[in-house]
Amino acid sequence: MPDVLLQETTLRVPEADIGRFRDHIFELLSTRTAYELLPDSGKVIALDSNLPVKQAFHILYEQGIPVAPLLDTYKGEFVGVLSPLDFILILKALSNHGSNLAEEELESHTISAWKEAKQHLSRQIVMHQRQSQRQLIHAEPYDSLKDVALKILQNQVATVPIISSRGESFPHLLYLASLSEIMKCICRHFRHSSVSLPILQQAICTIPVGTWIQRIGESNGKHLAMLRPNESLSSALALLVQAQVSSIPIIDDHDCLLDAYSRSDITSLAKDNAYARIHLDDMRIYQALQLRQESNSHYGFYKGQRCQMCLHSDSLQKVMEQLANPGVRRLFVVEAGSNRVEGIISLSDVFRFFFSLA
Amino acid sequence: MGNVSGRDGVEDGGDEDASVRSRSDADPGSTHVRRVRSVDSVESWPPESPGRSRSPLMFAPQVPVPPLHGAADAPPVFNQLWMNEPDQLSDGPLEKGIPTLITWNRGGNVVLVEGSWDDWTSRKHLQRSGKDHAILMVLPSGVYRYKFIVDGQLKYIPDLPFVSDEMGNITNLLDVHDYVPENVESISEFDLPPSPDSSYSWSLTDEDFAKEPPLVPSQLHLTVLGMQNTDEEASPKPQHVVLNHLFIEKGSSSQSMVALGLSHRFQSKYVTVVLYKPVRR
Repeated sequence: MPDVLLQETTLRVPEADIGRFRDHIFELLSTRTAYELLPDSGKVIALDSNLPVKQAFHILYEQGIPVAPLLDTYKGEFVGVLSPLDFILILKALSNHGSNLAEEELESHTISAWKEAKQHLSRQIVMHQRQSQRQLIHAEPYDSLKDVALKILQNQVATVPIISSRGESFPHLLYLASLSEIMKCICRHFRHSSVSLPILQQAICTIPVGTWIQRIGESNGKHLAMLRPNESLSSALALLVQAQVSSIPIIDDHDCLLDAYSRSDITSLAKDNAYARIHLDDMRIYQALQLRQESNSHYGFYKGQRCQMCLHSDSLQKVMEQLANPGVRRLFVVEAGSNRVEGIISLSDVFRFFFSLA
Repeated sequence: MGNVSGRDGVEDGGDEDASVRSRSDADPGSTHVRRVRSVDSVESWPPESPGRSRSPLMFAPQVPVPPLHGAADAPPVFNQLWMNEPDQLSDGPLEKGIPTLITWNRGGNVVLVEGSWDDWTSRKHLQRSGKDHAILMVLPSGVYRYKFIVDGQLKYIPDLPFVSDEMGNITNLLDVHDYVPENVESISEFDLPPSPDSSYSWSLTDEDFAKEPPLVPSQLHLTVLGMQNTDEEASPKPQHVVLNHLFIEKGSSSQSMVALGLSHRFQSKYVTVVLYKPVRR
């Protein structure tokens, strides 16, 4: 079986096809603007940066959103976003102090105090660049989609708030844009172009995109991190931070996909104040997954399914269409029938391929 | 009323349409945007039968209408459509089809169109009306290329968006949106009302503070805040009357945190922002 797959990978996509495809995408994204991503009638939730972190945690959980922009009401400006990574770091920092997580600690810390502390922490822990930036990463509604996508990729964030501030007396928060909506726009355009762009029909394993276990497809050099369900939650959180990934496949003893634990699942720890009662080293991943099951959030689900899967033989177009579904950020490439994990393809992987970024 | 011609497939023309039209003009609380612009050639198209379609909002014009810039220059949007072939609706794909009108008005006797919607496999005849030819297609949202065959010759419309491929073939480009942006200039609710004639020289007396404040106008209860929507993408559209009013969540007065909500318009789109704020007691 592996030999057959080896043969498939030698049929690499010709560079000329890739180049032409990239040119089309570049042109499309340069002429479209962020305004087009806005729905006819949309809703955005923002948080005052002086809210205690604990309440912020609960709001994100109750509203079923993973990320919220922060408004500094004294300055009248948006100063950043609160994301699942912030909670993961807070929980890890508090648990490092040895004691059980005290609710009072979270209650007294405001979000802005946390952000200050994070600056300090980032000099101690090795993190990727965006942690040390104080500037709000945002886009204006008439920025091109190309600029929005590049901003998301270069700052390694998942969403970018669209704020209209040029020529306005105060900033208007309009939308939280992510690569998913931009992919939807791209798919709409190329849905009927497969004749002129044959690369769209190539199998995904022949295209240099995504993270793969060896001998199946092109690997981008990153090791595919996976965990078993009985491992501790703290090891999952550590992996999410250090490996700079947003989701970890949870596999059984035969490397078959059971579920996935993502950064955004951290907010399900707010259910019944679970974060205050547990010790991260004691809680197992399967228990954390169960907590998430019980939460009423729809975030990250598409058609009731948490893990979206595809086969290594699926075409690029099929993979793109799946990634364009709302709530889907990554696809797990599995072996047909057994669900053995072969690779992961995320939205940012595909966009890096579009823009020929590393 | 109207110009009901003896074409096949027309049902329920006549008086009912007059009432549909007048109802949408008169009702101030209507949630649909009125497409007030009329079209020169509308009399050649019999009015829509009310039972046929849900809303004129689902109509996508062939000529792309920019959402805001140059709204005055935008070509007229048909506010009524004529569904000719029910078959076109029923054999649609799983995706929702949007009725789209394709027209050719550069002369010719027999005009056909072919496009990427079915991979260029079939050619459809356009119906002739005087010098103009048109066809109504039902297409899922997306971008398509198409060409005309006028009296046997391949042609495209240079005034509309077109692309040329690597072989030098030129085709027109059609972008079918699944919503039609509002033409904000035509919404009379956004016009400022004139100042009333009264004088502003009244002075307050002490008795005024003893009175109850006036009730909140009932229209303001129509806020979309607090509406549950499981679909992440679409929120219900707020009525124009609740825009730019600040709402506070009920029951917040005793807690340390308050939720404030505001719906406002940004160009042709609506944004509802909810802000959670701490409150010092």
